[in-house]
Amino acid sequence: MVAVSPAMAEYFRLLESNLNEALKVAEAARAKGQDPTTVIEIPRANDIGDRVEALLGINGVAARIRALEAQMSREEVSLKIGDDFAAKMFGETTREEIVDHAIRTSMGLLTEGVVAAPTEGIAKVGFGTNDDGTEYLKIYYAGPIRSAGGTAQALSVLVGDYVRRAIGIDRYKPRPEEVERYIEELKQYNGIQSMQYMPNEAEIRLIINNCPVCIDGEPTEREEVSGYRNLERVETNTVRGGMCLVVAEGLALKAPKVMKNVKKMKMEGWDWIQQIIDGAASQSGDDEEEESGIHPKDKYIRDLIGGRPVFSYPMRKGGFRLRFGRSRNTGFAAAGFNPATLHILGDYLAVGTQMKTERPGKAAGVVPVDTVEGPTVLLDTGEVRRVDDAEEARRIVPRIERILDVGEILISYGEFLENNHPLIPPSYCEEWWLQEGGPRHPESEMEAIEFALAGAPLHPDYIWFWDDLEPEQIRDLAAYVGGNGRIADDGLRIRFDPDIKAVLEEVLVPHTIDGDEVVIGTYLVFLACLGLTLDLQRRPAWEDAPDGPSLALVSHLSGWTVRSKAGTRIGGRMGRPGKSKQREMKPAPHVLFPVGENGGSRRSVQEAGAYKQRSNTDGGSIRAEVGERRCPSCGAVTYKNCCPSCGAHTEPVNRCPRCNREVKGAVCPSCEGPAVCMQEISLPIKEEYATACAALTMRENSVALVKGVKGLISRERTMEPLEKGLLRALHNVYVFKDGTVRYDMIDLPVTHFRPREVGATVEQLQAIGYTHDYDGVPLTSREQVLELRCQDIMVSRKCGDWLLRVSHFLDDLLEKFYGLPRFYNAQRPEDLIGQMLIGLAPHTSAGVLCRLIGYTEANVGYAHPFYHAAKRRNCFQGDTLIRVLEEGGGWREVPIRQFVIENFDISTPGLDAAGTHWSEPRRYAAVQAVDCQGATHLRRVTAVSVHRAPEHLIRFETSRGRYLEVTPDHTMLVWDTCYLRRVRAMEVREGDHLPLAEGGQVVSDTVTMVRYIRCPDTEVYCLTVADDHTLAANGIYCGQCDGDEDCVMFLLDGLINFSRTFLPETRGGSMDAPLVLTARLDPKEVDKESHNVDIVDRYPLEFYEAAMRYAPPKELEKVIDHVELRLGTPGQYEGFRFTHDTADISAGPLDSTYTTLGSMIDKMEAELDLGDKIRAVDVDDVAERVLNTHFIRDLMGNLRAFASQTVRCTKCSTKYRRMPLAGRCPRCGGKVIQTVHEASVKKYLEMSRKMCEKYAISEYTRQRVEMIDMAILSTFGEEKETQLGLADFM
Amino acid sequence: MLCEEEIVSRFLATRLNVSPEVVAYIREQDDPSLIDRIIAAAPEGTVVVSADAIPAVKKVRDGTRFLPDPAYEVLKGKENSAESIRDFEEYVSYFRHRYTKLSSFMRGRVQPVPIEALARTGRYREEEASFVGMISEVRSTAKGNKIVMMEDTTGTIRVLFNKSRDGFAEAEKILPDEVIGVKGKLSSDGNIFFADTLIRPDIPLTNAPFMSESPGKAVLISDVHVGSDTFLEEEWHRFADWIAGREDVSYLLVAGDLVDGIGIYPGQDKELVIKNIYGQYARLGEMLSAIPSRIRIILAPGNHDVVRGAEPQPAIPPKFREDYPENCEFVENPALVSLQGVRILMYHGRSFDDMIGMIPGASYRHPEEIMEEMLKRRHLAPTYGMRTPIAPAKEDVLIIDPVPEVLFTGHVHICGIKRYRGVLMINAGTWQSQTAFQKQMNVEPTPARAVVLDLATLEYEMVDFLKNQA
Repeated sequence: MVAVSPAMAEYFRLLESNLNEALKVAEAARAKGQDPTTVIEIPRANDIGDRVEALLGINGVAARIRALEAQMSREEVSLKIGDDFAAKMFGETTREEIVDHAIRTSMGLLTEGVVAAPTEGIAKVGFGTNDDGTEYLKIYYAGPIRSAGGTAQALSVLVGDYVRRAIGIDRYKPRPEEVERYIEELKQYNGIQSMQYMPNEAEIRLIINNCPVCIDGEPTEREEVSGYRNLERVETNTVRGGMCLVVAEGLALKAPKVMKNVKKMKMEGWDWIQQIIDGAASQSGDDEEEESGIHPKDKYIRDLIGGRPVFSYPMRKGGFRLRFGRSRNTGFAAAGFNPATLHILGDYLAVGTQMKTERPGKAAGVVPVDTVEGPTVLLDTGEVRRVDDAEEARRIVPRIERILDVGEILISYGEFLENNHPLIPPSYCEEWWLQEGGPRHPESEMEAIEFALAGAPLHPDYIWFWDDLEPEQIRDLAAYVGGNGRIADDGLRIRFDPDIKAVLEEVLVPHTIDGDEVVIGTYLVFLACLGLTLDLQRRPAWEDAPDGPSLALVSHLSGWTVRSKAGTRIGGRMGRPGKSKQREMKPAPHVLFPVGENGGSRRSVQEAGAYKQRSNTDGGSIRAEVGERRCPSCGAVTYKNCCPSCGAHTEPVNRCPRCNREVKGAVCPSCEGPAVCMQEISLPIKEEYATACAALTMRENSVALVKGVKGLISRERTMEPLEKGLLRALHNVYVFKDGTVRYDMIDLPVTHFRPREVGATVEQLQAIGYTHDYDGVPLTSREQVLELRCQDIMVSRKCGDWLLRVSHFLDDLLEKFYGLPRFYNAQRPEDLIGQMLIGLAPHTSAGVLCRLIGYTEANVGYAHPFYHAAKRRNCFQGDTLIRVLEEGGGWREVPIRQFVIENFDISTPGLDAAGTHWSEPRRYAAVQAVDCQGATHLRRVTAVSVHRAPEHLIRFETSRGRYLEVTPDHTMLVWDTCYLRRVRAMEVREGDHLPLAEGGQVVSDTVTMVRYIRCPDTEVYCLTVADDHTLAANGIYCGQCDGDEDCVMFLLDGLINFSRTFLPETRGGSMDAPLVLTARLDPKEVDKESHNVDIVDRYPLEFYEAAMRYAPPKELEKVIDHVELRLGTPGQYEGFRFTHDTADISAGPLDSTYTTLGSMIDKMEAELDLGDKIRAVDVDDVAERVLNTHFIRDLMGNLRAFASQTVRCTKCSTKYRRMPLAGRCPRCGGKVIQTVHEASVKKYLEMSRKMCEKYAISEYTRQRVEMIDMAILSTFGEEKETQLGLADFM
Repeated sequence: MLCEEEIVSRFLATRLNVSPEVVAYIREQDDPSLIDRIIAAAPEGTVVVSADAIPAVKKVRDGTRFLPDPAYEVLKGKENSAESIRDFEEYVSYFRHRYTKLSSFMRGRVQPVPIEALARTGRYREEEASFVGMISEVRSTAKGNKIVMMEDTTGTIRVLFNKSRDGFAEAEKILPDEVIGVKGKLSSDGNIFFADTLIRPDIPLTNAPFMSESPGKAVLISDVHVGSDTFLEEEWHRFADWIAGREDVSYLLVAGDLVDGIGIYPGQDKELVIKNIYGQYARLGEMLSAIPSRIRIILAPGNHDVVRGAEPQPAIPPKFREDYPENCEFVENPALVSLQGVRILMYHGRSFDDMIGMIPGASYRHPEEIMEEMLKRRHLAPTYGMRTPIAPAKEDVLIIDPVPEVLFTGHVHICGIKRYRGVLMINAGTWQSQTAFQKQMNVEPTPARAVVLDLATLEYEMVDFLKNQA
């Protein structure tokens, strides 16, 4: 039972009772028999593990293992069990059998009995003869040993050694040429496959010379070694992949793990392992030169995409200044910015936009926090001003000459903890100052000085950016001010000088220009820090002033402690913009009702109803394939869910199309062919429409257009009652393929909210259980801050309008169609507060129950971090092999884990709402994707991602020996006669046909085994592939995950309208469907990242001091309270605090400029204009990077693609690898056309040329553009069309 | 159909060994009496019966020679002969030309039936037949047999190569888009063709290479990679000094990758000592100026050079070669040059990358074996759509025709020399030491070697300029 406080228990009871209420309504509606089934089709979730556990089992030895496991660790058992085999406890007869069984059993144990390793990873064992006549043991590893993972691979050798001793066989004594063979072979294998770790020659020698067991292998590659061939004791000249893996990724890479077990088991003869560990350790020690301090990291701007501007270069003056803290809406990969910052940065950063940051190492979701400092700008009047107010920021945007400082970025300790990034010195701030002896916020500059004189450090509001200046500049400035300044009523007036002005702009002291004088309003501290008296004389402190550094100098001159206001600057650039919109299929139907071709391109039900087969006939009916259903009470055959004659609920009738007889179940018992539920009838659509209108007491012309679908694609060809479509059309909502209506949006985390922000009244919130604010004060005002319950969400206003329409639809549906009372009775979106919704991440099957508590202005959904973390994504097991084409490289087959890790841009990863870490790949990479016709295409990899692994994976094996392990909700492709259908992995059955990649072709293969296995790693991996969203993994084509936004739907909508029978085929296309519902969140079971959300109201002084010395975040793990510390206690759900408040979680721009600008040219121009203004940005470098990482890549890639392109038939869309000799489509005779066009090759050419002219681009890049220009010219010849003018591009 | 074993044992019965070429020839001819005739004609004391012993085979050389004066001529791939792509439809004529030309090389060995006739009419069902087609798909079956899709201008058909048949090793090497002939039997439903014999255009057994009547020597090198930080400057100077002293050498041929180029692979700028592309060519110009002007230098481009990547690649444009000495001649890739009547086909070798990946047992270590596969297919880059971009034109200039005396390539940075049916195949290696990429790929280059070709004898000599060896 989950630990909860009484209050939370009450909350969950409330949710439960809301759920039950909805269930009751839905049950009543369903019971009317109008739907495909009379029961609700979304079950409450039960752990997938429940079902799986039964599938696991270890034969015969299970009892023994259990007995041993009670006494020792898993690893120890895996060795000890060898004794039993040696004692022939399980009926072994030969030595081979003993060793074979022992190794396999322990491998099974080590891999949790789930991967292929024990059965297929070890081909066989055998015995060889040493040169001294003794015998030694050989283990033949095969390719699938890969799936075992390095540790298990290494331990299997250990097990072999253990058993070998038990049965009295000597160690392996290698010959010198055999050792060399290992070295050659490993090198060669690494060339083919690129291993995770390639040991050096000395390490290999050490391993082979000392390993007591001979690590042998089956040939796995096509290549043969060229050097050490035809050795007497090595049976093959071909490269043995399994052997290489065990040596390199097993023994060498996992040496520490092996050592641990060796020690534990007190095994002899393995001391040499320590040498590998020592060797490896000293190597890695060299890499870590960062003892303390940090260096600029430019990874986040390595791959600049045109149109997404850079706001701050790495650790550059004027960049984002780090402020430590967590606001209500930050943490969990969201970072806070002053809304003024967001406006001044060209409105590119809207609430919910992703920003890629330099550190702590994650991309950040952008949220407004107005308690942090805004930007400092230089206006066209020469005035320098800090802007903290969004209104003011908007007003002055046109007058901005230069953005001198982009303001603060609020990042929480939890982010550093999550990324294990050392803490770094932040910008000096009040919450720190208060703990260093600052008594209270100073009212004036005078008061601040008083506090400083009393011994506290100088208050941060009056600290200027002295450390951005060289000590020499401070001296010069003091001298100049002393000589050329005067004190007037309005402040310090200094005679204008361009150099001095530039220094003032650097030190960021606000000033204006009046005539030929610079006026500084708040000058007292400024003068004091320059060591000047009020009559601008040098103070005695100058006499013994230190040479530097700058901060020490000003501290000395003023006599106060002056801390760094600059702190650490953090670079950032724009990532992906957010989204928020109604889910619509294309074309978007109102109802799942067939209209055939007669509905026209709009699929209009009315138009289909007006169709006449021949002129002068009545018409009004169309031919359609519909499901065959029969009434159990009167026996009438119909296509409706409800018997038209007696009103009973009908049942689908299955027929075998071949034997033409009715069958029970989906398979014909006599011919074993699949049965269908189908009849072709004349569907009286006009009459149906009229009946539906009458039933709803609507006039026939009250809705102009009801859109249906072309045909029914589910197995039972179930259709929705037309009434539902009429009502949906009336309320302007569209149905998704599973019968529900949905809204997509980006999710952001939030832990506290104000009633005002969500548009809810105090009464409404009290009614749904928010009785006290987060300080325990009874709720009376809309300004009080409330702690958000973990399953409560706020959606955007736009979504609110949509929800209102849906509620009207549902109410009408209940009242007019089901004859039940209205449920929502909402007049305004606010009336829906407290209603239950289902949240669903794309391509997952489990919905999460949630409650609506209000609306935000921003186009995002705000919800508790736990809620986000509860929705998981689907992916591949890390050892899955994929074939990728890399830029400059070639085709390479790598485990997906390795590919993802290699290409994961550690410095700029994104984190989407489901807790998935993703990033764009570091380099261009492409994979072979397959479309639904089974044709392959080269598609770009657009993202790589790492996901938290679920408990279990599904393993498929095929008749041709392929296997694949994926998460249960992963998308698989299955042949359906002639096209590939997408299904969830859990729906794939034995006997299904999967597409395989073989020799560049797509062939079909049969699934021979489907098994649930325990997931061996804590992470699973995936790629995002452009366009087709498919790739070959372990040679099997299947889907990938789609990093997209989440969606919500009404709980009642899901319960009433959702039916599996609408989904394409009984098992197909159930992607995105709410197959189960998680009713209650358990923080322990959600994504671990949410455990690193810190929940304190201030960081202690100790923390800031730790940050100053670059301490690792782990050091403060116990000091700063975060979710992990509270797991398992009632505190895991509530009592969260935050360090920074914000007035409005929806402040700042609501739509990103990126989405409002049209063409790439506009975007590029806007990006470069903004870059020109920001002091922290080197715009020439931005132009160069965009050229290098986007435009030139695109140009080169397309040029290469042009001369190796595929062709396509215009008529049947078949694609061919090359032009057929016939010149026409061999299949249909249609015209064959190109797939890469001259225009798409040249797309960015002109713009690249112009950028080279306008910006200081390096000669190297400039020449690359020139080279490409020449290559394009030589490929296509002189330009045929007219040149576009310069103005068209810049 | 005769099987290999039978043929071999017939020879062995008379205590003769027989070369695989002869076996293949006898199988192709399908004439058992040929064996006796060959055995009868074998001279006394023969141990191995080689192709010379085949009675019908009389060495003929391909084409007549008209020797110009001076005795040097670019036969194909003269500067400015590569054209831009006028029309996408050119791909139709391009592949048709390839098909027509390559199938003409097999005339006499295959009596082709149009594929449409095979597939559409019933009369070939379960009958022996033969035809010629271009491969459009290759795949292996679960049992390890090979199924290929073959097409001609009339239609397509599936062809199965059974792994237990003789010559399956050759079938395993079938590449997409090569043109082959097959003999075999059509299935009873006409859906699939069971192949017995695979016939490639190949170099005729009768091929007799031409040898220059006057003495003369050519030096062959490739992949100079000027500008790279791994370019072997010292070794090059040693080479330049050496060639200046070789009075007998009149030609220097460079098969592409004259410079390291810019932007060829990501992060290349970090491995360049000359980052300016003009600077790279200027440096090469200086280097070549040190070579005596009596030596004619022929320079072809490669994938690192400044020209487009799609083959045929045009010659290096004039603006990059302003200060080059007079004795430099720029040709395209590929180019066929005649030196005193000896024809040398220069091809940089981008297609090695594709072929090595697809031919079982092929490796970068032995480029000469891949070159042999090119000759057998009579095509320099058989497979379209992979790493070798191809610019379509009316004619396929990548076809190996006429048969040259020497096939000369580079690209893989590993030296390899071999003879196949009279054609001398030379891959000259490189002037760049092991790069970071090669190290990662475990490629050991054989840098700083020059091959001296004697035009009068077609014998060669390899000179190594590597530091500690010269």
